[in-house]
Amino acid sequence: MTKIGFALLPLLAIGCTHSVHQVSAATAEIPPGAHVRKVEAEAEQHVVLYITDNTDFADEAYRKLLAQCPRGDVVAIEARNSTSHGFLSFDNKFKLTGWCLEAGKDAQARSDAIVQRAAVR
Amino acid sequence: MRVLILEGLCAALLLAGCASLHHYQLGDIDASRGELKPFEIQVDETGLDTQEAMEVGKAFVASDSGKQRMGDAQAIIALFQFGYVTGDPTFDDDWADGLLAKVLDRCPSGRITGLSVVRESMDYPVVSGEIVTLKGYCIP
Amino acid sequence: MTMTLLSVSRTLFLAACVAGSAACTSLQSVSVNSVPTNRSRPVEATESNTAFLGIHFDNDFVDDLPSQLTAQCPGGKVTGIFTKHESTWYVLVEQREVRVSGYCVYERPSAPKAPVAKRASATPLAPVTRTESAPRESQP
Repeated sequence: MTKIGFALLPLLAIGCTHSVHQVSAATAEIPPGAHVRKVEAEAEQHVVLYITDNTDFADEAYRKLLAQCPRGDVVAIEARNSTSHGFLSFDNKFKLTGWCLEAGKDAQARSDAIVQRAAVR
Repeated sequence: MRVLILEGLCAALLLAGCASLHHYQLGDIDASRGELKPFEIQVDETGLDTQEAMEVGKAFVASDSGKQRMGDAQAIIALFQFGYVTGDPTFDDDWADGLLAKVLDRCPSGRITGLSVVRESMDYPVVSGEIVTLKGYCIP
Repeated sequence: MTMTLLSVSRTLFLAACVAGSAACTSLQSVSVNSVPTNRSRPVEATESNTAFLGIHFDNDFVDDLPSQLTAQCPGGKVTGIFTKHESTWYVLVEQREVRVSGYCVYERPSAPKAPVAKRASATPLAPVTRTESAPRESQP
């Protein structure tokens, strides 16, 4: 029992570990005062014993990001590819952050509505 | 005297660290629209190589049973740290988030060119510095 | 016990990869560029390269990707490019695959070139609110 406890003690002290593999960034011109809205999307894939035949989690996060900005350009996109380690398994994560650049009166109205809701809260 | 010099050299090498480049990305550079103001944003996190830490720990343990227990702990920790690793593992995965927002704060005009992203590690005994650096130019 | 645990974990890994033609796919690198509003014409190209023991002698398999994209978008602009480089191990054989996707955009035919004096009175295409005090980010 003491042997098991001794073996598990460092594990409890350490906690869960992660590894950020890559950060990618793409910029585009955002005119000063333009109405932009932050959009975020993340997807993950649970892999056991390294067995998997796809990396669709990256495509899923990308689709989710684009779905949040159907009527505008998605600019200044930042992508993070990381892995969260676990017991005989791990989670591949792909997180995308961007800015939805919309033009026109609809964008103004949507942006004002978001600001008003934030003020009420 | 020679031993002292040798020990000093070893200590210097150990403390100097070893640099690893994992990923490099460079965007287009447009120098035709005015003066370019350089900026740099760097974030880092401490990584821990638990396997190396356990090996160092074993060196300080005299008894064979102690070494064996540390070896068992090392193997169990390895089973709990399954997965791909770049550099050394860290204890959170959001330390490199929000970099472009910081870039946009540094460059109020929103016109950025020559953006480079570097993912690198500085390896030291047991620990490492996991680093992401963004450099670029702001067109005022 | 140390060796037993390590050898068990290695055996588990190898057995899992071999059993049932299992594959080990990992994402090597990814890049994302700004995405346009008009996404009605997606274009995509994929190239792969297989090598025994992962020993590749060249990386020429990616050279045709840009031309494959432009072939799907004649006279247009391919933008919003998303690239993915993945690696799959089938026991002793490694397959590298690069997928590139984007959107084909046909910009409006350019208006006849106007004299300099007339350009000043031209109506802007889309109004952009320019208030310096407006927050850049609208929080939900």
